[in-house]
Amino acid sequence: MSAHPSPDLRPSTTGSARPLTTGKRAPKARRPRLAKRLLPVVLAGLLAFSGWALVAARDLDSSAAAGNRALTDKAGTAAATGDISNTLNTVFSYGPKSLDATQQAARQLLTGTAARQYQQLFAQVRSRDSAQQLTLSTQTVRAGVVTLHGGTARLLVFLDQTSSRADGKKATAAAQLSVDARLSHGQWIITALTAR
Amino acid sequence: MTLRGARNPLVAAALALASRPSQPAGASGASTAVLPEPEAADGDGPAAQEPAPAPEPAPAPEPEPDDPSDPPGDTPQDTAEEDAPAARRPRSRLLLTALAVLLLALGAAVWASVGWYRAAHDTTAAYSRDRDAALAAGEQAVQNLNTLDQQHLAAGLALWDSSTTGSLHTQLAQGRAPFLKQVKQAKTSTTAKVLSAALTELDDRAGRAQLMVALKVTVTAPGQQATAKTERLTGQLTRVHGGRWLLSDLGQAPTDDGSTQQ
Repeated sequence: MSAHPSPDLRPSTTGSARPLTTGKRAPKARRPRLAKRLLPVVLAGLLAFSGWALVAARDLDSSAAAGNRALTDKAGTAAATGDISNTLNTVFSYGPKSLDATQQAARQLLTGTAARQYQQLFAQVRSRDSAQQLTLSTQTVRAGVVTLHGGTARLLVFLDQTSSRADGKKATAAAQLSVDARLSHGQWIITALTAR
Repeated sequence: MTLRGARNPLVAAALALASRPSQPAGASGASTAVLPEPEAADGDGPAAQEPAPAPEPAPAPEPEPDDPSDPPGDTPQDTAEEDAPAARRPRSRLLLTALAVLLLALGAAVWASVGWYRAAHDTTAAYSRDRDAALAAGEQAVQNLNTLDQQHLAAGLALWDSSTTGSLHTQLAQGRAPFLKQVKQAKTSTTAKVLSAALTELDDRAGRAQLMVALKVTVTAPGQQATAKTERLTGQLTRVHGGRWLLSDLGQAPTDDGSTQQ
C-alpha cells in the first residue's frame, strides 16, 4: 500500500494533477472492490469447511459403533458378563431340596418375559421332580457382550448343563442362549432368554 | 451443511455477522459518508468489541493512508469533508467489521476442525469400529467355512482360502484333498446361518480378537431330508495387511465331558 507514490499527489493540486489522480484511482478503487468480493468467498469457504468438519465429527461420534460400548467399556462389559453368568448359574442349578431357594433367587434376577418363561419351565421341573429326583448344575463357560447401551445389554452365552439323577446317571449338554438384560440399581437383571 | 453448523453458537454468530457488512458496504459506496455514519457506528460497536483488543491497533493505521486518496474519486464534496474525522470512520469501521467477521469465521473453522480431529483420532471410537469390523468379518468367515455347495465346490473352497489365515489356513489347505474326496462321495451340501455372535476379547494393537458364534448348520444330501443342528463355536481373528480380519482359528466349544451334543 505504501509503495504508491501518494506524496506526489499533494503538491500538484492544479489541473495537471487531474489525469494523474484518475490514473491512480483505478487500482485504488479496485482493491476494496476485490476485497469486497473476496471476503464473502473466503467467509463462505470457511463456513462451508466448518460445517463439513462439524458434520464429519458428529458422524464419527454418533456412529452405531461408538454407541455400542461392548468391550470399549471394560468395566461395564465385565459387570454385565459377570452378573449374567452368575444369574444363569444360579437359576438353572437346582436339586430336589433346593427348588424353593432357586425359584426365590430367580424372582430377584429375572423379569419380564424371562420371568414368565422361567415360571413355566419351573412348573414342569416341579411336576417331574418327585419322580426323577433330578439335580441340574449349570456352568456358564463363555459369555460375550453383543451390544451394551447404557442400561441395556444383549449377550451371547454358552452353558454347560450337567444333570444327575438319583440313580447316579450323569449327562452334560451344551446350550447357547441369547440374553437381554437391564441394569437395575447396579445389578444386571435378565429380561429375555432365547435358546439358540 | 451450513444450517447444521449454525447450531454451533460460534458459527451462528459468524453467520449473523456475515450478513451485516453488506449493508454498510453498499451505503458507503453510493450515498455520502455522512448519513450512514451513525448507523454504522451503532451496528459495528458490539461486533468490533469482541476481537478488538488484538486487531484494533493493527488495522486502524492501514486505512488512513488510503483515506485521503479515496474520497477524491467520488465528488468534490468529499474532498471538502476530507479533513473531518467523521469521514474516515465508516471505512475503518467497515474494515474492522470485515476483519472481525473474518476472525470469527476463522475461529469457527479452527474450532470445528479441532472437534473433527478429536473425533477422528478418538481411540475409543476407533476401538469400537475395529470391534464391529472384526465381528462382521468373523461372522462372515464362520458362515463361509460352514457353507459348501456340491455344485460350486471350487468357488466354495476358494472362499475358505480368502476367509482364513495362519494355522487355520494351513490346516484347511493340508486337509483339502481328502476332504474334497469325502464331500464328493457323500454328495452333501452345507449351508450355515449365524444365530448370534460376539467378541469376547479384542486387542486392536496386536490385531487379535476372540470370537464366539452360535451357528445353525443345515446339511442336505440327495434323497435325504435336510438335517439342521446348532453349533457353538469359538474362534480367533487376526488382522492382516490391509486391515482385513481373517479367521486364524475355529473350533467347537466343547463341554466338560468333551461331548458337543446339545
